[in-house]
Amino acid sequence: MAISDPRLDLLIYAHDGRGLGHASRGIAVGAAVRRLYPELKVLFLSGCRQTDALIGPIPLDWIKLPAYEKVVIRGGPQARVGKTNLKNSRLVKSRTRLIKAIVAEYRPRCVLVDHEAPGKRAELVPAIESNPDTSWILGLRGIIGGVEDVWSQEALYIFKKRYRALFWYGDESVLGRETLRAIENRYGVEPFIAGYVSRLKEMVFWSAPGVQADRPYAGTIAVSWNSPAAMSVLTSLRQVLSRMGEQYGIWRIFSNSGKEIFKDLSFCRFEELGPEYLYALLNSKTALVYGGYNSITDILSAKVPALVLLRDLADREQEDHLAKLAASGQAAMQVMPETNVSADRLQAFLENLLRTVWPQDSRLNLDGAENAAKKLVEYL
Amino acid sequence: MSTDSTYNILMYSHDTYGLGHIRRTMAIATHLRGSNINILILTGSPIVGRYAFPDQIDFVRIPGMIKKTNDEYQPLSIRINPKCALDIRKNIITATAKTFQPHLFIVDKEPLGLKNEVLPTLKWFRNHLPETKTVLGLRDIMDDRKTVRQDWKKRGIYEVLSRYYSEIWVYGIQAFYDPIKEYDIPAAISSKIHFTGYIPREVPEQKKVKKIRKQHGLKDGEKLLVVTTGGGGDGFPVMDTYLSMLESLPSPLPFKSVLITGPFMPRGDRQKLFDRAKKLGVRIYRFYRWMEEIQAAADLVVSMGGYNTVCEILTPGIPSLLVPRENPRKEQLIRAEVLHSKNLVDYIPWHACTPEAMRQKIFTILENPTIYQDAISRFELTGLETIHSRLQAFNNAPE
Repeated sequence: MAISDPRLDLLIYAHDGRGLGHASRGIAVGAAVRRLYPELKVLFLSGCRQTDALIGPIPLDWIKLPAYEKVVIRGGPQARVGKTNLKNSRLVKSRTRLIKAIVAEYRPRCVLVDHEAPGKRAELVPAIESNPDTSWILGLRGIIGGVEDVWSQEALYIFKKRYRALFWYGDESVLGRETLRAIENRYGVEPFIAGYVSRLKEMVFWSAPGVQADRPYAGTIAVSWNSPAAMSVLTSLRQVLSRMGEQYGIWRIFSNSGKEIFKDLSFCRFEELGPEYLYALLNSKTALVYGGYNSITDILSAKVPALVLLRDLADREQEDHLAKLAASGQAAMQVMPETNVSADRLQAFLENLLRTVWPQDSRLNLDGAENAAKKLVEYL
Repeated sequence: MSTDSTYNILMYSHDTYGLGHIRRTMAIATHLRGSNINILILTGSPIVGRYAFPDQIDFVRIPGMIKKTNDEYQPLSIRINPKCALDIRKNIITATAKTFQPHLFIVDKEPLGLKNEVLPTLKWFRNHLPETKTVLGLRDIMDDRKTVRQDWKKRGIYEVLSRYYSEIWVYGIQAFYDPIKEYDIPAAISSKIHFTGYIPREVPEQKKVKKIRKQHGLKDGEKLLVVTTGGGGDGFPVMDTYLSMLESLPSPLPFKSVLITGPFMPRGDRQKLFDRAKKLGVRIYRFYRWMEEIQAAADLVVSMGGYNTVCEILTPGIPSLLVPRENPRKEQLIRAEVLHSKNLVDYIPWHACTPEAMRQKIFTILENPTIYQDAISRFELTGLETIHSRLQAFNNAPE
């Protein structure tokens, strides 16, 4: 393909709002495409502010839209105005027009869309309708739960009308066929089973970290939420770590708030979430994370025994996922609702994890990004 | 125009080289925000997300281009020809302007944007949203007079300034350097110019400064030198000379040093510096998010004299030694000469920068910093105040 050809090969769209899962999956697939097919023109599109931190050393260019923000209220996600302070309706209109303009400019041969076929608030629909010769591909994570946007009539309509394929980012041997069957029944296609998508797995190709066999850090903690419950978790953690002392080594704590809580603990290193997180995880004996898809695949990829906290979300998808992983015996994970966290419980969990080893016979399929990349080129 | 009850500001910062444009834009945006003000920044910076964005400020990131020479740009990481990449950027910028419909559009430094990419947007405002105020923000010095005059004449910049811009804000002091005279700006355009003064940064709290000094192992009375080359794209020789100077000094070193290479320094060069710094026990970073704090913690800052670094150093009143680049633009050299004439900085010309010259200058400044400290304490950075008053004037002006 001539470099002067202006047509983009692959546009990867990930909506934003709550958490980093959608963006992380898209970036992982983008990284795999750049690794396997360096001649292809690939671009990542999202409103996610942390995109450059997630991309790190990966040579993947990106466009950022004005951002949505979503907060969890009484277990359910609720939209609120993003940092532009624009009314939500205006933001939707702006983004919709921008996406249409971007797709018109790049004329991508293929667009990989994460999670919602019409895009967030149907913002992709005009672009999809205007580009019928583009191959639109939908990617769905391993367990979807009751997320309405995925199962909606609107999603089904646009998928059937314009989409060419559906990728499933799960491991059938762990998750069973329940979600697959639900997808098949709803969308009327047989999904391509890619496997778990791990950004960590792709990231190490572009910037091989110094992984030490003895895993010098006691643990890596990631709290990306800024909620009262998350702050309460950090406060309990501080009590635990001050009791446990520095006998296990340095604790790497990644969060965008709560720095003051750990300021007098010299063996705790507090950092904002960024590229360093994955390298800390690879060198840690334990981890404490929240149960989103992306955090879990990082843990599975790094093979770090972990305590996984669950938020009080209405759709229960994270609980289902973790229960299945635990039942498979292929991961060393313990699960606790964040609202049950107390200093004593936390200490018991962490001390137990420090004695735990990762299952030797774990054969999880973590090649989702690579498999998706290989499949995507068939549509170019 | 937006029908929301808010005042919307769109800012453009092309960011093809270094960190200067986005840092200046963010400093201004942070100051302009208010409860009814929304700010959207259009930027090509690949590292924009690493800065903390306060409420009411968001950004749209356009595909990155990197500067190869003064005239040549290439797409940052996407394999697409530069003309197509520029067309795409241009269309995204226009689409953003059309959807955001700002009351105020501020363009940083390049009147036409990168390779004219802002021109369609300026034309669109003129034809469809004439009540939108369009402002060009220029740093104190663009380049030497001959180069700017030739370039502006060749590219029709004088006409663009006359036709498409409501105002021009020069983030400098006319008495220090007068672009009206130097760049031969005619009266019809010069009447639109407002000299804002230099743009200050937030002064870090003393406890944060103390904490940074503690984190870097400084004992009471021990001196800290911070060496920064901005984005770092051409900063290697300065860092190399600085480390050579340290290597020539007897151990233990008489002061502590922190080096910040910048994220755009080529990897090979950066690795060499990291290896040498490690041997010397010197702390070195690729990127440091809290530049204002660490510079405020220093007793002396060594830099190349980019506009933003100079503002960051002058705000907390830290003496500094500049090693200004002379190519492809002379702007840093002129700034160093001008500010040196006011005792605000000292400098070594690029071609004369040897470890010995650096050692002499550094020790002289450290032994007698008061000449600089006195001059800096009398120097006011008024940029944000003036910008704010312009904004109020816009708000009060009948449409």
